Amino acid sequence: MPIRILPIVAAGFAAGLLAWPAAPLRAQSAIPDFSGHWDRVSPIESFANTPGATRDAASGDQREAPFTPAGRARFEANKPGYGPRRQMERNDPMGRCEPLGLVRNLTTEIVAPHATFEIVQTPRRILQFFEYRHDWREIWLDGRPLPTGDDLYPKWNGFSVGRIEGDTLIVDSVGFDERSWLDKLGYPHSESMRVEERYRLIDPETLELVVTIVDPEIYAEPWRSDTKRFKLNREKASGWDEQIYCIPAEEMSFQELMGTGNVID
Amino acid sequence: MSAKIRLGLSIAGAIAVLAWQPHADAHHGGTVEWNQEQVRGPITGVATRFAFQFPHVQLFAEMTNEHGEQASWTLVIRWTPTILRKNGWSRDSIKPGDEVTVTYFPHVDSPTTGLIQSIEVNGEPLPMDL
Repeated sequence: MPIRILPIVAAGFAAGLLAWPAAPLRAQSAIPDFSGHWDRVSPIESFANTPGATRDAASGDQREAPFTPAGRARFEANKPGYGPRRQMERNDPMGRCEPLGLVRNLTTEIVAPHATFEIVQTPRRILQFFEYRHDWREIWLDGRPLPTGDDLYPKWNGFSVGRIEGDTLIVDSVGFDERSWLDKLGYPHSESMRVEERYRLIDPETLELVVTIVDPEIYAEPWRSDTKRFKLNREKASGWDEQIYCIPAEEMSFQELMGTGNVID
Repeated sequence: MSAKIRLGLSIAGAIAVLAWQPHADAHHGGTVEWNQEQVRGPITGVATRFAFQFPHVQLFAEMTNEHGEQASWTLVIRWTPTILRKNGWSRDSIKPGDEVTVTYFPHVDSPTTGLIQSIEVNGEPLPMDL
C-alpha cells in the first residue's frame, strides 16, 4: 500500500469508529436503556395519591402529606385551581409562566398528549426533556458527588446525579428554588428539599417511577409519591417536537380573562 | 339559522356535556371558571380574531346572545393546538369575517366569555368532541 494513502485509510477507520452505533455497545455491557418518549398512563396527576385529591379514590395507596406546622402554613397559603382546594382566586406559579420545577415536571400533570417526557441516555449523562414548557434537566452518571457549600444553590430543576442498579435508575437531587410547587394541588417544598427518583424498567415498553422527597422543614418524614407508570411512545419519537412554551403576554391575558387574580407582582 | 342546524348544535352540545371530564382541561382549572350545568346557545356572530395558541385556543367575535344583545365575546377552546391539528384544525380554520355559531358553557363571572362545546364556521361544523 502506498504510504500516501495511509492517512486516508486511517481517517476512514476513525470515521467508522465514530459512526459505530451506541446501542450495541450498551447492550454488550448489559446497561438498561431508559431512552425514549414516555407517556404517563397512570391516572394520578398530582405528586402523591393524597386522599380527596385524585380521581382514583379506590386506590389503596393513599396517604395524607406529613406536614410540619410550617409546611401546613405554606400549603394553606398556596391557592390552586385543582383538587379539593380549587378556587377562582389562585397564585399558581404555572399561571405566571414561572418554571414548574423538577418534581412538578416529573408528575407530567398535563392532559395527554402533553403528559410526557423524553429521556436521552449517554454513558456519562442522561438528559430528560419535559415537553410541556419545553424544559429539561441533566442527570450525571459519572460518579461525581452532589455539590455542597458554595457550589450548592437553588435552581428550578436542581442538581442531579444518578446510578443504575439492575433494572432501576436511581437519581438523587438537591438545590431547589422553593417558589415552585410539587404539583397542581399546591404542595410546597423548601430550598433544602432532597429528591430521590427511582425509575424501574418493567419491560422495554413500560417504566415505573416513584419519587421520595426529604424536606424536614415542610414534611415531618420522607414523603413518597404513588407509583407513576409510563409507556414508551415510538410514534412520538419519530415526530416533530411540540415546543410548548409559556408566553407571558398570552398567559397573563388569559389569566385576566378567567379572572383568577393570578398576576405578576 | 335553521331549526335543523339549531337541533344539530344542541345535540352536539349535549354530547359534549356527557363527554366532559374535568381532568380533560389543561392547566387552568377548568372546573371552577365555567358554569357547566347547562350548555348555552347556539349563538351566532362574526369572527374578529382567531388565536391558535397554547395553552388554550381563543376565538374573538362580535356575537349576538340568546336575548338578541350584541357584544364582543371571547370564546375559549379547551384543546391545545397540537390536539386540534391532529383533528383537522389549523390556524386558518377561522378567519376574520367568518360567521360562527357556537354552543358554550358560560363563564361564572363574565357574561361575554364562554367555553365552546360545539362550533360551526360558515355553516360547516368543526370537530370539538375530541
